[in-house]
Amino acid sequence: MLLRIPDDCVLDILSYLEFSDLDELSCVSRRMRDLVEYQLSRTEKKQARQLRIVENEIGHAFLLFHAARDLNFVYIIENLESSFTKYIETGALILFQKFLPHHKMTQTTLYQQIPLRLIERLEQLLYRYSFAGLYLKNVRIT
Amino acid sequence: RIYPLMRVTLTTSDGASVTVSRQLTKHSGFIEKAITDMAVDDNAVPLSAVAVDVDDATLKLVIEWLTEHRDDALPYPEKTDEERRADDIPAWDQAFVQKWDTKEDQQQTLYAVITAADKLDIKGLLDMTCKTLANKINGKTVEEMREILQLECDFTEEELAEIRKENAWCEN
Repeated sequence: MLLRIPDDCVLDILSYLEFSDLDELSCVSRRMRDLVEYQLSRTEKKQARQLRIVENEIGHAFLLFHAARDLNFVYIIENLESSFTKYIETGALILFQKFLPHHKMTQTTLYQQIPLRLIERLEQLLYRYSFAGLYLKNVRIT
Repeated sequence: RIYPLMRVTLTTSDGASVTVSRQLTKHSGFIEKAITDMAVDDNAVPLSAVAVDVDDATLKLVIEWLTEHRDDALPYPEKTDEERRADDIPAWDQAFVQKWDTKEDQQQTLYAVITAADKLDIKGLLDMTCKTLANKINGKTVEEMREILQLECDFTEEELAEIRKENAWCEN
């Protein structure tokens, strides 16, 4: 059984799998989750053209523009919710303007400092994608 | 230098002895090291004495594979991440693995051969068997993966829900 196979060998097996299979594998057992996490850190990253992070009235929107233009998608971390909305839009045409604040945000908001959850999500994306560019809008870095 | 006519005797963990040509064992980094570095007597390599738990049935499969691949080039070519792919298993190797699939304990055989290839440092065989297992996992659900890998879930329901939520964030 797999329990007898050393970690190096299992990592060799994982190196042939796609991200989607690694995600499934991470739910199999604790050992597999640890190994998948390590494998993700050394797997060749997918190329993305640009990552844009924008703060708007809802929270922080992540707009990921892939090298393949039809795979663009958007995630939102809502300020007042403990959960996030994922994938609110995907496809070839994502209107960046739609995710900008609807009103000019002239004052510092409670949420303009980058929340920890945003950093955590960014770290997860960086495991899988390398971005040719990063664009921050309304995100204050202190 | 390898002398093809030289014979090497391997003793398995269950006490069986198999004598093979040095032309085959040259593909095993472990056996070559045992012969050259450890100065074993009469080229007799006791696998169990050096913590390699390979039984007779598994060693026979390993030797069958080595016999087919005796003329493969050495050292085994290292591949870059971009060159690594699991769909390039040679036809003979695929048939070799298919043969185990008729056995009731097909997964056990595959795991035993992967372990033996790792311990004996036979890169070509290890590569092929790892690709085979990767192909078996590819595209499967969590439950199917658990069955193939013979692993029990040791997460709580809450932990599983949290992992799925985290994964969904980066879903491709």
